[in-house]
Amino acid sequence: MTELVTGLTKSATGNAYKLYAGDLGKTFRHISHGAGTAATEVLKGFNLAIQEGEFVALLGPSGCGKSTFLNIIAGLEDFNEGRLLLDGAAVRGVSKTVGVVFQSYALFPWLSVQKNVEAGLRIRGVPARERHEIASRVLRMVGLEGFTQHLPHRLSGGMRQRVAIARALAYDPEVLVLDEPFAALDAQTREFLQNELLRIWETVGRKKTILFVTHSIDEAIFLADRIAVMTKRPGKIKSVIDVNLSRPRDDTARATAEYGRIRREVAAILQEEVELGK
Amino acid sequence: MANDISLQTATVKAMLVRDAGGKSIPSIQSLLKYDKYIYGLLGLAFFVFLWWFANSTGVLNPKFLSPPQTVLMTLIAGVLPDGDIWPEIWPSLGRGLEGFAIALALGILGGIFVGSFTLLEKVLAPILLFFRNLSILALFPVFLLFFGIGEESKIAIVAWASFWPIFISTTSAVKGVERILINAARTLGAERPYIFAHVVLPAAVPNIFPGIRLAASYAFTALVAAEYLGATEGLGIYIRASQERFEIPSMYAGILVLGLIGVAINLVLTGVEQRVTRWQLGITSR
Ligand SMILES: Nc1ncnc2c1ncn2[C@@H]1O[C@H](COP(=O)(O)OP(=O)(O)OP(=O)(O)O)[C@@H](O)[C@H]1O
Ligand SMILES: [Mg+2]
Repeated sequence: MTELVTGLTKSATGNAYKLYAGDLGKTFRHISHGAGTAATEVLKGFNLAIQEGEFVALLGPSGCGKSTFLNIIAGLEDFNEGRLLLDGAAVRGVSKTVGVVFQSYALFPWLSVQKNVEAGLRIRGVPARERHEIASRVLRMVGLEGFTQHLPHRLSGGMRQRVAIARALAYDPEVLVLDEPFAALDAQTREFLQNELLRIWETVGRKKTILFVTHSIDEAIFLADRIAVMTKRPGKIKSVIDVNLSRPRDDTARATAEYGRIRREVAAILQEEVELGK
Repeated sequence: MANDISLQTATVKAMLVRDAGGKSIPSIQSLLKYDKYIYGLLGLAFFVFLWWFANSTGVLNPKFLSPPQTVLMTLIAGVLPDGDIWPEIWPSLGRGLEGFAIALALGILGGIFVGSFTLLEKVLAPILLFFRNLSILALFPVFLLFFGIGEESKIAIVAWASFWPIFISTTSAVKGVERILINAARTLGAERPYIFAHVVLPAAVPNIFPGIRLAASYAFTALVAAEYLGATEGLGIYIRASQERFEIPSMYAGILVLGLIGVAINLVLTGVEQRVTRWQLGITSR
């Protein structure tokens, strides 16, 4: 178990963390059906530090604030307490260096696969020819070169998810956050896409920093360098577990003793939280 | 009116469904494709027959209802380049389309704006509620005061009348745009103007169109009323003048031309709608 970093915004090597959340707190205020306003404290004392090029999986009970944290990183949601640093600088609004993959794909249904993937480049003013080339390359990378002219609703769930990933990869963000991207898929497609994601991450020139939210312990172990497990709401990081499995990983990794050990450890921590929640 | 629109979309839907599955039995399928026209022609023929019957038997006073063939001849003679209806068409069509175009631009822009900012909508709600329910006839004198009795007042009246359905449907269509799509665009780096033009507008267009079609029919209703009020040329004044001169076939011919313009505009709009909402095929039951 690695130590939780609190107060320090720099790693042991002296470099700024790619992503640093210190004592983050988030409370939703909303008009309640009964009287006046109600408040939901979603995050409290949330600490997490991620280094450049790291793959971190975020696990936690349902409703503990995982999506909320992701939205905060993406700049879609603000927070009330603490600090959030990206490359050592405070995050303010949507950052152009963060790519997001939503659980519900969020593809533009009126745009072809190709145009969806080009969207981020178009917004950045990349000329038509260049963005076409980039999008085509990324689509080849995710194995969708034969579907560039399809509309999203004519694709299967797994293909849509790959389009969503391609769209986030196309403009080459340094940080990629994914919110349960494979949750809605069947087991085979899911494992296939896990392998694909690792292959892309491992082969792309400069490794992206990835934060991957999931409900699946197996998925977290198979993909991540470290697994951050959250408490129930108000959520904070309960513990961070190192995954010392060699890379590149393939399906044989799932059969190792280390895998089994980590699985039991994470399951026990999660179990505790779920029982506390009752 | 609303019924009329949904009926049409239903027929189009049915046709498209048949198109998709029509490979197995081409002969029957290709005939079925035209059933809309065959039934439509039957209905039309029956209507013309009733018209002729009512006139020739005197069920409806022949002095007030000219027989179809006479109206048709008057119409054909009238719309020839040297006919008397022809020069009346263009002023009306020009006013109608100009007013409609203004309404289209302002209605969509205003609707996107008001629909996107909840606070703005709340502030404007009572004012908007007041004006959208106000009879256009009550406002005629106001328009005359501001714009005079020339072209401007007529165009303004048309624009006013057709603005509301477009504006209202845009406002609610914009509110119905999925938040997640806007968020996705934001994470891709999009700023507000881009989001309005490339996310909100395309996502809302399918739900704006019923308002646009309603607006087109309001436009010509308001136009004719405006022309009755005072114009030297135009179909409205032609119809009224014909009645005053007791040239009844001309009056009916004028009405027919107006009706046909309405049909033509509706067809054009349906075509445009199908084109811009094609991506929805297979998502909704459209
Ligand atoms: N806009 C909002 N207004 C009020 N409360 C909210 C809002 N969004 C989320 N919440 C609350 O915050 C809590 C955390 O939500 P969040 O979506 O972050 O959970 P999660 O960990 O992603 O859960 P899951 O695993 O089920 O996706 C929930 O209790 C939810 O009700
Ligand atoms: Mg969630």
